[in-house]
Amino acid sequence: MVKVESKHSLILLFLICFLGQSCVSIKEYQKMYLNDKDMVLADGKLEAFEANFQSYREGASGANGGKGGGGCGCN
Amino acid sequence: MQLRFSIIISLILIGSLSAQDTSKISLEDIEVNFLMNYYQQDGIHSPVTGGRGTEELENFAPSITVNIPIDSSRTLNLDGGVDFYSSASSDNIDNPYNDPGHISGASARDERTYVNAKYTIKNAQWEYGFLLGSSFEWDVFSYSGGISLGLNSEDNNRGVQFTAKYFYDDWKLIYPIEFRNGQNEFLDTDIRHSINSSIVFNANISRKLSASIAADYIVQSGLLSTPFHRVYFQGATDATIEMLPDNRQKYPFGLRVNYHINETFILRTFFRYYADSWGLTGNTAEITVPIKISQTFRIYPFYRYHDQGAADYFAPFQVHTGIEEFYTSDFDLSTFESHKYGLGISYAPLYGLGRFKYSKDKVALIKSLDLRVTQYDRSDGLTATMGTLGFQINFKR
Repeated sequence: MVKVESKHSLILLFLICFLGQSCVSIKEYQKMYLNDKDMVLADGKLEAFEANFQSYREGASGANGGKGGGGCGCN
Repeated sequence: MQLRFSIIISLILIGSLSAQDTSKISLEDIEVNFLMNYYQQDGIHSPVTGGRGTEELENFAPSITVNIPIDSSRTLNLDGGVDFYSSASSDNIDNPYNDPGHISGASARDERTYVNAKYTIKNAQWEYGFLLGSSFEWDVFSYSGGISLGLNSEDNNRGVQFTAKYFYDDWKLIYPIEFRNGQNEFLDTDIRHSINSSIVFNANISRKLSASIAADYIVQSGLLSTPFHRVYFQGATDATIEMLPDNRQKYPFGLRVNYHINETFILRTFFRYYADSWGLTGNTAEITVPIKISQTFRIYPFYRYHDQGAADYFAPFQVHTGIEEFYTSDFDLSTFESHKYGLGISYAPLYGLGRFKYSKDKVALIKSLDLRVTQYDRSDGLTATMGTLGFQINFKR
């Protein structure tokens, strides 16, 4: 339990650092690389099936936009 | 059911195509993705037969997603599909002694039909979304609803999204055949409630580097045992039914970092730490390296590693003593590590793969073709292979 709590503290610390960090202000015309379709910060459309089966075959799920509840999938 | 589902989707699509007043503004294309997934798995630890026995399963899953820009600020997104599956382990619900000569019953094959809708309103910095969904299968009817809220910085370099979704699952309690005497009810409820909440922060860190962090909080209550999962206690030849707590809280935390290395290579990474109130913990790391072979052709080699520590209530076949309050032999909740790897390809010519007229003066463009092949190996012996094919068609307006 203590181990889990210390991990949570680390996560919280990381969150604060992430939110507090001062990003460079990138102009729209400088976003050529960031606007590439493979720079999207989410799974691709074909990966939805895999996120779904992983949520059944692995006890751990979530934090990636995958399914977190609903339906059986218990086979 | 499939026919009714197809008609509903078709009516929505046709209605949205014809209902727009395109005389005032130039609307964006309607984007339709047709996806087909084939999945096959095998293993030797089926929970239906108490943690031993076949886990052979085949699933074919066609689906469709439709993204409809209604005007410059509103979008309707629909997705739906059907899973057609055949499952040897489901078949063993009616095979109490794991007899290899057992003749298949009706539960060996079935379908799951699902449909989801999201309505989004966007302005300069804010985004609001409303979600509705439903799925039907032989033993579960599921309904869901939710909201999402997003806020972006003025320069669009940072953003935060919050999503909350509620699932109501209504189960038909199917017990293993030897427990169906019409007199006993082993489980207190046939309803499962799930609330998924998620907060995601994303940021552009440099011209080539972006990242996001996600923290989810998931609460489930009600029926969390699966009624047809068997458990065998030490020395017992007769089974009992899996028994799990009626409450579970999950705390996954995810981190994504994408880096545009150069004109050819991109690096996509994902890490997740997971813990829940059943004592299950997990770490997941995934890397994908999109490679631009040409302007139109890309390949996506990927690898994913996952390890997890078992839930407090898990023990294999004939290891539970019978004095525990809760017990399961479902190896999805066991200690294991898994490796997933494969390759994706994407072909998207500048002027599309082809075009056709869908009305007198309107054209649809077949924009891209995507294929992904995946192999999954779990250290307890479960293996899975899957392939997914997708077409994107843009309907001009």
